[in-house]
Amino acid sequence: MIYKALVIVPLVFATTLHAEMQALDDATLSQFNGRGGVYLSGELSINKEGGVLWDTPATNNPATWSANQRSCSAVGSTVPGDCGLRVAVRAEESGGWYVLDNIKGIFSFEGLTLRTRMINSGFGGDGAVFNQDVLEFGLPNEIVFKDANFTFGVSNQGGWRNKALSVAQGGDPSYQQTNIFSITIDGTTRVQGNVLVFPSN
Amino acid sequence: MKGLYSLLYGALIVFPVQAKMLEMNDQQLAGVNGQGIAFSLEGILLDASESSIFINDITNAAGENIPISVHEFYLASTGSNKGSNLQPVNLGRLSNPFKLQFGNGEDLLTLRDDGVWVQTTPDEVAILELKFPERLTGVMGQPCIAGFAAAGTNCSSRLGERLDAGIRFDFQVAAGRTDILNIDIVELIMDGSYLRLWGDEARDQLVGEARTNIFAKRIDLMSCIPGSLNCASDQEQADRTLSLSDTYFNIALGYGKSQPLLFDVTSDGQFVIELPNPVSRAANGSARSAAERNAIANDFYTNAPETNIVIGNLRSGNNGIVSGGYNYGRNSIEGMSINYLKATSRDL
Repeated sequence: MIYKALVIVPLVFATTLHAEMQALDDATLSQFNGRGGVYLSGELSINKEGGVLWDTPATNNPATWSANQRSCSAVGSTVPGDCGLRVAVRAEESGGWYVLDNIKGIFSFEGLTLRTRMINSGFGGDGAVFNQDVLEFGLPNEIVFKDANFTFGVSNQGGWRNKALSVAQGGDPSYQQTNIFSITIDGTTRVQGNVLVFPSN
Repeated sequence: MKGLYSLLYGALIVFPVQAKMLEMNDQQLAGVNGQGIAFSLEGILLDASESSIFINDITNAAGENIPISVHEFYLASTGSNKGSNLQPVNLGRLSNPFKLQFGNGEDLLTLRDDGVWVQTTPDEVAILELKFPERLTGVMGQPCIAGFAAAGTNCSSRLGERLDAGIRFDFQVAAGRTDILNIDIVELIMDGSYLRLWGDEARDQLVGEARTNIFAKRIDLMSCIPGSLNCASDQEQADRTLSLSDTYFNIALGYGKSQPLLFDVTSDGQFVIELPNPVSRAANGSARSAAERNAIANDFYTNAPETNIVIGNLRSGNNGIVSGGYNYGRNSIEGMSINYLKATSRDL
């Protein structure tokens, strides 16, 4: 056993010594065209356990929440739910706000690719006329959603306020938000194909 | 992989420091013309049949949530036979791709129903435009609906570059009762659709123009789940189907020069979509002379895009495979322009 180990060690050293990296000069580098790219696999989790703004209260009754508590469970649910990310946009100087609220969930995907590609043929005859490089985003074949959620609504203030509490308690009775709809997605969605991006003129 | 991420993060952090952003004034912005990104979709296929999707926050009179469950959601090449044979499709030709771009008001053109390209947006304004494949006039134009000349031959997408799309909504109306709306669309294209957004200085708000063109060889609306009780055979499915063949919608909201579409949320948190009266008052509220109002009205009636809704043939209880049912023939609303519209949400 000791002998074998002794034999292997010099071999390992020998190979590392031989494979010295050589810097490529600019001229050599410029000959590489459209090879390689980026291959991404990953999992993205947004506010799965709630965000930093609000703690999850013990009940769904807003009047019992403290100033830093908010529940975002569905209408009629008895179990309080964590709240997701909130994005609010105002389209008029003194108007109200469009809100994307409660954005949360896990998105995982395998094989999102990014590379450049020359198109000069195909596409029903359009490719030969087109004849230029494009940026190619290869969509992953599958995206897995887990409890992905968002709500679209409108409100009279950008930030969420608890209208069931008085101002002294940290709430704001004048706050008004109307949720138009919300979407919840769970499971695997098949998304295949390439998005080809190029300058428009 | 971690190394790659940290490289990416590094790049993201370094770039903003080097590329200091400078605000552009209106004059400079108006000089930006037709610059943006174009994108074509190659071999696209979307199939969400394995995932469960719910639309919530829609309540009944008692304030209870009425969840809408979404099934059989797909986008694929034509010939999918209502989603049973999904094949990838190319959307947006390289010569006429989807675009997200900045344009000058003078340079964005819209195809009027009589085939003339006109400017609909105000002068000297930088406009953000999201547009679908452009329409093509002349010999290069493709039939917007194959075999239905009334829809015109000024689309750019060819027959193989059209979409089959479908979605099924299950409305859980009450305990033990579920209403179904099953939609399947054949040979769908949306050429010539756009959304243009810009800031209106006098109104201090975001305004825009939207045009939604939908061309479809066929749209089937069915009220049951295929394969379920009383919904298995062709005859049973036909009995529960409303079929719209050779259908197109050109829905025009807003005419930038005199009647921009106003997106707004009131200060008490309700959304408002408004198409103001084009002639009565200037954007800043000042009155106009009769001659001015006449000139604006003339321009509006000549150039403002009009709304058309045309159903080549409407049938119920007959999907073309089996006999019977009712044929309602051709139904259309053509050349409609909206003089004033104000829609607002209300809390029930």
